[in-house]
Amino acid sequence: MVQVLKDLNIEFIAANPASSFEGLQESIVNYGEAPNTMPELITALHEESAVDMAHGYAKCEGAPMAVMLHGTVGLQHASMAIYQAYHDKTPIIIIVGRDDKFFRQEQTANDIAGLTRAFTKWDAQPKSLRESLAAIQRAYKEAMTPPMGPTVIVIDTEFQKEEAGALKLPIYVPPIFATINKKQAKKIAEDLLGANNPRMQVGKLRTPEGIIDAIELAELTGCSVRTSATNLSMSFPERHPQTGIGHDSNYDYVLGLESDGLDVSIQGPSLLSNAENRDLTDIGFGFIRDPVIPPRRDLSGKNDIVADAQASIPMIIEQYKRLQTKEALEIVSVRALQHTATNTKNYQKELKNTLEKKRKGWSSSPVSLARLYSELWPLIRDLDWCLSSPTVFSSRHHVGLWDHNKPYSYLGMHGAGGIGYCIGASAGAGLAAKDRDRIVINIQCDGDLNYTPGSLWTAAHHKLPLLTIMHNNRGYHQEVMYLHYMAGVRGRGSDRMHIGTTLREPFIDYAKLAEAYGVKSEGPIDDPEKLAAAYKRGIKAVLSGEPYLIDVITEPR
Amino acid sequence: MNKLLSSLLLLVLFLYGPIINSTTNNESGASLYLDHGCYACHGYNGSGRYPIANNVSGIMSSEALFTMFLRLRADLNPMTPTNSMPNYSEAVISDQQAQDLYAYINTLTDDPPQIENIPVLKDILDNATRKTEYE
Repeated sequence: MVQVLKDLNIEFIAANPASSFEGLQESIVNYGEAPNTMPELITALHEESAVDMAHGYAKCEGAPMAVMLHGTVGLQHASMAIYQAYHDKTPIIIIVGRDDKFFRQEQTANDIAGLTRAFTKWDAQPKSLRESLAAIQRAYKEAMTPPMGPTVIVIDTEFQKEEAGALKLPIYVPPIFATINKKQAKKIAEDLLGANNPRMQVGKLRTPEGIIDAIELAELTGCSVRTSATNLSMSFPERHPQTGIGHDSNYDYVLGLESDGLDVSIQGPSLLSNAENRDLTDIGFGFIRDPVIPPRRDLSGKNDIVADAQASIPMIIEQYKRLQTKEALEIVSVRALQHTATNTKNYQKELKNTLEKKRKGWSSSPVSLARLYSELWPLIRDLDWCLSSPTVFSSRHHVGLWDHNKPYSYLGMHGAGGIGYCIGASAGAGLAAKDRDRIVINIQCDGDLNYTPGSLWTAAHHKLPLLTIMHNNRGYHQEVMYLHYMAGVRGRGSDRMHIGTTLREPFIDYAKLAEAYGVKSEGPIDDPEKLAAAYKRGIKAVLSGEPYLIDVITEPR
Repeated sequence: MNKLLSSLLLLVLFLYGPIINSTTNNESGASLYLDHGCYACHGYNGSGRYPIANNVSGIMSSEALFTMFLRLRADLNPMTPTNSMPNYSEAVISDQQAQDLYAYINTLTDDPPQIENIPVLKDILDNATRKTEYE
């Protein structure tokens, strides 16, 4: 089994130890030349954290890592995180141990995978060691096939402990991605060539290779590009010269790549297509159930092509090159230069406007969130960085200020908005960053950290390059606002809305919490003048391979 | 002697009374500002996400308008959770308290340095470059 995981290039497998996968866990550590380091066993302190780590890792790499979970109880602990990864279309290989004969009956079941079937991509419960090996390969393939998502293999302990002997490994057959057909590719290429002002809107592609192809197509056509890089991972680089409104905003042809396009939108299948086969009891999860928010594109669907955009781009490029004339080349060259000039000019103007807004409350205490982000940027600007945490609760001050040029510059939202995701996903991003000279920035909400703080220990133990900066507003701030509104509606007690929504009396000391888990830390900092020096110490520690936490007392939003 | 002290006390009250009164109002206003969650959107110092310092808000143009604004904002049937400005009825914040709140908010100022005088922001502006190629 370990060799199968190795062959699939699985770098890490996260787990909280359990008896139902002791056979596999022992092999992971001792297989081959011990200690085995691929996949490296990552110690998680909670099953939810293990899955969150895999979630964060996959968003960075566009490829899955694995997770081991214990029977019924471990899978249930992990279920919320699996649900989020499913919403996020994130590939994760989940191996669930099953001991049906000797251990606690409460921790086994006939169909363990049924617990999460409605929000996983695929599952299997193999009946032999040979089948188990094939199932792991199939799980990988299914996880990586759009719509990507977590897959589950339930493996009985007896198969984990069986001697492989001369058993031959099955041959892995990689996924085949559904693409547009040649006729469609030709039509799109013709339309791009025929347009006076074409544009591309790029959403989330599958892997970094897809972004490289998208760049080639953009440069080949000289079109302007709208990116999603400030909202999610695996999108078009934000500061590419052609990214922006461009020279002329009257676009006469808009191609969507995993994004809405006014004229043609190439997007992979939705989760709904998967739910038809998986949600057997018709739970009907919102968003998966049906599109609550209709797409902005032509609702007739006549321009939508359900296909993998990434796999389709090379076909468009091929057709475009075939059809391109010398005259068209000159037009494209002029168009690209015009877009570059306008985008550069706009960028300078927009940046100045952005900075003007960041000044607000610059010297205030608690620290303004604008300053929290602004002080950091010059210190990480020349480093390879990844912003791992969702930033909606810290007012997204990286947008317009930081340059999101890498596939992993910003990993986007939780998936389903479930709290407790940040530190685990950030540790996963740290695994992806480790040995790649990259650092991870986690702007960590205080409420969120208290769900699964154990990932701090994982970061310390595995020496992950993770800088955690607390957005410590000492409360569940969104709920503070909601509750105040509710009290206002009912005309009573708005001075009691801190009850159940704030983290006061006592305040939580996150620097001490981090220290307890072995993470170097400092704070609480409420003087903004002390921020930059703390950041420098934190970055120095992270660059040396140690996680660091800075507790910053912040404005609520 | 007592007469002299009384006269001095009266003089002090005459000269500083309005300030003492204002301070009291401000203390009450500051407390109300925190207790009733104004800080949640407007920031602890009035420079939060929806700034209210420096008299930038139109609703601060008069005490009467401010009080009316507090009273009239509620959507009585919100369909979804909202972080819109809540309603504050008289039962929750009295007219006197609204005056105190108004007085306190009027004291909030935010006078950040210009970009040129904030080294970090100046650095960001001076070093802003767009990538010319994807790495």
